[in-house]
Amino acid sequence: MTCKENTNFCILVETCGKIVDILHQENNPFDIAIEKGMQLDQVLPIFHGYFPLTVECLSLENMSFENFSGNILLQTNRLETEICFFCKPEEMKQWKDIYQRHNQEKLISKMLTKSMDTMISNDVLNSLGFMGFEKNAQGFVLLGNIPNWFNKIFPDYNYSSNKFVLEDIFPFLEVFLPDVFDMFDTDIENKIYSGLWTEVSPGGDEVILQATAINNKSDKYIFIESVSERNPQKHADLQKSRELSLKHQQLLKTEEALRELLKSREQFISIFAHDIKSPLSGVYSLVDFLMEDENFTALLNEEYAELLGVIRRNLSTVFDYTNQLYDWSNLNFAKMDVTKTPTNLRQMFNDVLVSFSDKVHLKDIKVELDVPVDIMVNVDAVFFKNVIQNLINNALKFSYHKGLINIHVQEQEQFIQISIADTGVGMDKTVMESIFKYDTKISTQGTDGEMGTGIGLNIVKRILDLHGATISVESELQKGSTFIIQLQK
Amino acid sequence: MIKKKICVLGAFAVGKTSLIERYVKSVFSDKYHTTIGVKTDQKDVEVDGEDVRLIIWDINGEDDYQHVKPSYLLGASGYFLVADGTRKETLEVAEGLQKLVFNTIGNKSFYLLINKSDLMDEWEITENALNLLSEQGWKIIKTSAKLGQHVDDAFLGLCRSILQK
Repeated sequence: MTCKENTNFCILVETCGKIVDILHQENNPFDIAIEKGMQLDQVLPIFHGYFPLTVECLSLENMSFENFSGNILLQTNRLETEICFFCKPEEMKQWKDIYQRHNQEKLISKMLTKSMDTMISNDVLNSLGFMGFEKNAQGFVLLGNIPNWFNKIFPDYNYSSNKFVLEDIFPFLEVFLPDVFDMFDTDIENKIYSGLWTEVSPGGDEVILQATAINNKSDKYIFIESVSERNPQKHADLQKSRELSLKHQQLLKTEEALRELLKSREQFISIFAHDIKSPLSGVYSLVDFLMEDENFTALLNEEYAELLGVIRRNLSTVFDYTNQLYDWSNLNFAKMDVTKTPTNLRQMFNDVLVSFSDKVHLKDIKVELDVPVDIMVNVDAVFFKNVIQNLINNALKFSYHKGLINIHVQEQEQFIQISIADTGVGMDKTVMESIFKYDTKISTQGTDGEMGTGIGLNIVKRILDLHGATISVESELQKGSTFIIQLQK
Repeated sequence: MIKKKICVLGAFAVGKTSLIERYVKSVFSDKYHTTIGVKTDQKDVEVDGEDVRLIIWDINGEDDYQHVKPSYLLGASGYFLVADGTRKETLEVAEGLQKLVFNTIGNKSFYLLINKSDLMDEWEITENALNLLSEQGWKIIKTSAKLGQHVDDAFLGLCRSILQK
C-alpha cells in the first residue's frame, strides 16, 4: 500500500490491529513513541473496536485527541489497514469557535424548554461567561453566579439582593430594554440581540458586552456575555483596520499634494520652454544668416569664423534641448491626445531627412531609404514625426564619419515594422535595458561630441505608447544599433 | 439630581473618547484606541445652581465598519458632533450624523466640536466651511483634547443649553 497524498502521519496495521509499519514517523503528533509490533488500540485507545475493519474505507472527520487535530482515513485491503492522519489544527480551531457558539445557543434554548429549577445550574452559566437574568413580576432576578468579567468591571458592586435594575448598572441597556419589553409582552417565542457596548474596569481594562433577550412562552430572560472574551480578535481587527484606514487617508493626501507639485512643475517647464523657444530661434536664425552671408564672413578672420561656428552649434543644441523639453513636459501625464490620420510614411521620412541634410553632409553618412512609396500609416503626424526625428537624430549622432544608416519599412500581416539601423558605436546590454524606462535619463555624447538631452527616447516611448505601438532595440558595441517599431495597422 | 443623557458622535479617530476622558477624568492619551459599540460615562456637575448628572454616551465612530444605530440616540437631551480639524472629510460625516440625529430625536441642543486645535497648522477644515454652518445656527467650538482647550466650556455650554430648553 502507498501512503495517501497530503498525509502527515501514517500507520499500517495488520487486520488484527498489529502495527507493521509507520510512515512519516517524524510527524508523529502523539506523545508516545509508536513502533512496529505494537498493538494499535493499546497505543491509541481511540481505535479500540475498529479492527478488523468491516468496511473498506472509513473516514473520521474533525477529530481531536491528545496532540492531534484533524481528519483520519482508514482504508483496508485483505491483509492490512492504512491509517492516515491529516493534521489540520488551524482549521479545527475555526470549527471549534463555530461549534462553541452554536452549542452555547443550543444549550440556552434547551435550558429554556425545561424548568429552570432542574436545568440551569450556576456552573453552566458561569462556564459560558453569561450573566443571566430572569424577568419576573418584581423585575430582573439574577440566575447563577456573577461572571468574572462583571466583578472585574464593578469590583465594589453591592449585590446583596439578587434583583437588578439593569439600566442602572449598564446605562446602555436603556435603549435596548424598550424593545425587550415589547417582545416580552407577546407570547411569541423569539430572541433579540443588543448592539455591542464597552464597559471599563477601574484598572482601565475594556470589556465589550452584548445582551440577548429570550422570550420563551412564560419564561423571559436576558443574558449578557463578554464578546471580548468570546472573540478577542474582533477588537484588534477593527483597531487595525481603522489604523490602516487612517494611514491610507494620509497617503492619499500626500499623493494628491505630490501630484499638484508635479503638475505645477510640468506647467512651469512647459511655459518656460515655450517662451524661450521664440527668442532662441530668432538668435539662431540670425547667426545662421550671418554665417551664410559671404560679405559678412569675408570680414572675419579664421578665429572669429570658428567662434561663430561654435556659437551656432551650441545654439542648435540649446534649441533642440528646449524643443525636447517642451515636448516632454507636454507629453507627461498624457496631456495631449493623439489625433490619428492616414499619413504617407515615405513622405514623412523624406521631410525629416531634408531637415537633417546638414548633419548627414557633415559626417558624410550614407542613408539608405528602403520605404515603399505608397505606404500609409494611421498616426498623429506631428507626434510621429517627432519619433522619426529623434531616432534619425540618434542614428546620426552615434554614427562614425562615412557610416551607414538604413531605414527599412515592411508591411506585415497585422502591423507595419519600421527599423532604423546605424553602423555606429552601439550600446551595451545595461544601457539597452534602461533606455526606454521613464525614470531613466541617459545622455551620451555623439561621435563628434554632439550633446543630447537624454530625454529623446523617453519622448519616443511615450508617443509610441499613445499610439499603442511598441519599440525595441538590437545593438552591439562598435557595430551599431537597430531600433524597431511595430505599429498596428 | 437630574440626569441628562448626551451623545458624542463623529467619524472614527476624531477624538470623541479623548474629549470625554479629558472632561471626565482629566487624562489624555496620544494613542488611538477605537471604540466598539457604545461606551458610557458619567459626571456630576453643577450648572447655574442646579446639580446635574451627565450620562455621556460615547458612540462608535462612523465608518464602513461600524454605523451609528439610531436607537442609541433615544432619550438624549443633547449631543456633540465631533470633527477632526486635520481631516476635512470628518466634517461631512458630522453633517450627515446631524441629519440622522434630527430625524431620530428631533431638534435637540448640540455643539459641533472641531477637535485637534493643537494641530491648527495642519487643519483642512476652513473658516469658510465653519462660517457656513454658523450661519445655519450651528454652535461651533474648537477644542483640543490633548491640551484640554475649551473642553470644559463645550460640556458646560451644552449642559446649559439643555437646561434652558
